[in-house]
Amino acid sequence: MRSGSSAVEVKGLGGGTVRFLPLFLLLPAVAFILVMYIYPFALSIVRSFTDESGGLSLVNYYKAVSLYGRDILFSIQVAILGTLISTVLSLALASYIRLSDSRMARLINSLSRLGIFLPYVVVAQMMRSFLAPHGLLNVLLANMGLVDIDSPLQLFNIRGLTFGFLWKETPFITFIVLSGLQVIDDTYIEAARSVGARTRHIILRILLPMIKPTIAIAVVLTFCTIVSTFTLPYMIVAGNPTTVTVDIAHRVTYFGDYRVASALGVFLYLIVGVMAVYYLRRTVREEVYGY
Amino acid sequence: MGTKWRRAVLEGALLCLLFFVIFGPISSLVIWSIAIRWYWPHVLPQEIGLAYWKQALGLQRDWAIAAVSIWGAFGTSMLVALVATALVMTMAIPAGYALARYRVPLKALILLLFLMPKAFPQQPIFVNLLPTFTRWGLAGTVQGVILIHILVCLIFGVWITTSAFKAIPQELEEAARSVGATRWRTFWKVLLPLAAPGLLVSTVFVFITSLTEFTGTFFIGLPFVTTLPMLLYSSSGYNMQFASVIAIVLLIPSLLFMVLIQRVFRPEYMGGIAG
Amino acid sequence: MPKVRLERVTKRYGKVTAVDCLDLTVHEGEILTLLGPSGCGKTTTLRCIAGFVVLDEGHIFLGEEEVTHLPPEKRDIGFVFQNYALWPHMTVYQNLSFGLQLRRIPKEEIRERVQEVLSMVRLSGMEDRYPRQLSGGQQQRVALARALALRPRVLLLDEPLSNLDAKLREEMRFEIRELQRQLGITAIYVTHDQAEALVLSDRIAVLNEGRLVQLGTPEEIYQRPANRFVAGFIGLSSFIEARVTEVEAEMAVLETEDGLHFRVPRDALVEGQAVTLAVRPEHVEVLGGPSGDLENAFQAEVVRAAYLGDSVDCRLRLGKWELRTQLLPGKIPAPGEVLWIYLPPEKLILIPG
Repeated sequence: MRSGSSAVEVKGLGGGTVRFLPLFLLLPAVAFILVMYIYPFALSIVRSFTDESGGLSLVNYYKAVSLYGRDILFSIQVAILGTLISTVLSLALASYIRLSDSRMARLINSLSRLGIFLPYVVVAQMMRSFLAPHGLLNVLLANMGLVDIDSPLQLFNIRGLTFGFLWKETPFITFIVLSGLQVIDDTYIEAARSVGARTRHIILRILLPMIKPTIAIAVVLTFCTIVSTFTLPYMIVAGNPTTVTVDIAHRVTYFGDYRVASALGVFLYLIVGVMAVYYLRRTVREEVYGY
Repeated sequence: MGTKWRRAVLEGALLCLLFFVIFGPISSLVIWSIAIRWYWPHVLPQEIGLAYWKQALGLQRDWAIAAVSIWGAFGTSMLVALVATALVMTMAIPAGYALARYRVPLKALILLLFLMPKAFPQQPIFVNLLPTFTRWGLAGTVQGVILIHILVCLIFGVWITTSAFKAIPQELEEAARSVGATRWRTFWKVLLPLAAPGLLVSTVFVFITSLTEFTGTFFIGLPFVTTLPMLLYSSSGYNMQFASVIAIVLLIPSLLFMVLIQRVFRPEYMGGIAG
Repeated sequence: MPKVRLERVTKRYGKVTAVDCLDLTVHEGEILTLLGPSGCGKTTTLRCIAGFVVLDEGHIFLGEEEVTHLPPEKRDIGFVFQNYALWPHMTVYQNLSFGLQLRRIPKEEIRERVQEVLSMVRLSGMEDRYPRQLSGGQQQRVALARALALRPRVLLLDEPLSNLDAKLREEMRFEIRELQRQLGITAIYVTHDQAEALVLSDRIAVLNEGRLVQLGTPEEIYQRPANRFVAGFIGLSSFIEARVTEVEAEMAVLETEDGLHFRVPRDALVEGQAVTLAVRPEHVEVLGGPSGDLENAFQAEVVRAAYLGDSVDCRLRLGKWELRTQLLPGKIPAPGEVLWIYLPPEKLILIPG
């Protein structure tokens, strides 16, 4: 990856006044993030450990676990399920598109990109109408005789939610993975074929291992997105169990309870924790040191 | 020949499946937006028409149809998105330039600042800003919503802008410096025109992100600031047709962005959006 | 015995015919070079043999077996790429053993064979390195070893040395040649570098615009180029166009438009025939002084002289023609100076037309 190295060479160009120029250029953005992100971030952690009288306490965590313990597990479950399935689908789809040069493959490629930039609020509305008990999916299945007219599929639960996430995230991972695969020179594939590798060997032993870092980033970002998304579960999951993000909204809008909401927020941080830290370390290292 | 046929059949099946999975939900929206009456379990609506579209676009006013004009919400959304995008790019272009071209002190720390909002959930941030915003009189105001949108969009702006600048070979600037152009002139006359497509991608992406932002507006703006996504949300509970109309309106810019990005896209920009 | 046989191989890309009805036979144990300028179809031909490119017409045989419709992974070939194409996520050992594993060869034997090829390319002990930890020359040798580890029926090399610096390139030429001879493997080598082709090959096939122009040993190609293209592409040549005016018992006399006369061996020349004379720089002899009675001796004017260290590259005007020659370094002639030169009849290359 091209990165830090080019910036290092510039140093010779500038004199004394230039030394503070980059900081000056970065100041507005950095200041904004500090005030609007880091401050409330810290606040959310502090608030989660504070009781009604302002003292240090674990009461919020106790409440969060006893009231929403099941939802915390539900969030984790959806995130793992969604990430796993969308990753597998994406790897297969991207490998297929990379290795095939048929017109169908090109069509599939443009088709798969369609949903990448659709906002979650639109996806959520789409899923509401598509997956509803009397929605288009059930209409079609009922007319094909696959579903009983009197008891259509109930999908406003983990199944529908996962489907919604898959719908949105699979194109995203496919896009990232495919950009990685397309950078790989054809000769690496030809070299494998010349020593006797068949398609499955090429995919599993050459192509995917070569872009492991790209795949890791895509997986991490997808996991974090699924855990963080509020819109989709809020609009399509009916009743319980639901995700932590929905619980946070309930806590705030119905009870005005920012402390338990913050404790739930910290649970969200913990769920994405390992992955997020991996992502941060990797990206910073790449940008700063170039590897 | 046998394998060729089998391959074509498999590809065809895959194509059909994808087609159904992708267009199923989209066509569901489209059908609902023109359905006047649609009874279970019929495949198609019994009565179709553009009544909800007309009502939503303010072309007619019929009290029997539960839809309001979307122009008010559209105006709010445009105002918020335009102001937020302008402010975001004013901060992001200098920041992106600095990150792409200079050796920045404390670089790792600054990068961390710009990465954290991407990695960690932002919802707790909105929740914890709400009491502060209330105290400052920003909750439920357009200004407050603009601030939140800047927060959501700024990191995308910074990262895509950085990639856009990095994609331009530095030698081109050095050549300009070598023939006597100042740093300032070089930036305006060489780098900026060359990086324009990348900056366009960045600006449009920021604009669309703001236009379709939901979560931040939900916490900070409701119930007084109604952007299009908020209107979509509040109508989706009781009126499938009207909600579908708004969803289609919101879907169009994202599809147009996809077209734009096919035209001027460089793989480097994806680094800004994704990794 | 033919090892690789191409019959009327044709490949088109849109309206461009990259390889045009090519017939070619490569013998067991020889190294044959496909030589030509870029775009002549040499790499496409090689990729057809490997199976990376599907032919539009024609047949390819490896030994007795027709492989025209076989995918590359079933052709049992070894291919060395210009950019080496070593898989960056695998160590040297993994790169070399990958193909062997796919063939379900027992672990012990894989280890032995990897060691064997590594020592052949003098890289023993480098098993655990990753490609990025190796120099260009080392990567090149690993690529070669990877192709050899499978003991393929034929070794295909696509400009394998063009990414190396000049000095290393010269060394590797001999190394590849030596290895190929030791193993007795049949090899097809693609290059645009005539010096490389001359050093390496048992035979050279010169291609131009998708067609085979000449096939022969390096000596044949250099000394008896079949046409002006080959004469100009392999070694330097100056060209003089003339017509046969007299045919004697052993010699013939040629005359140019501007009245220069050359005596050349008769060969199969017929009176009135148009002929192009190709003159190699090393065959132009500079005489000490005037020599009026000698045949094929001329006065030529120096147009330009460039000092090259070990020689002087000199352009001469002879009538309306330009001749290039190489002089020993010493006194560098000034432009406008007149030299006496002699062109030995037996060294002149005659190209019909």
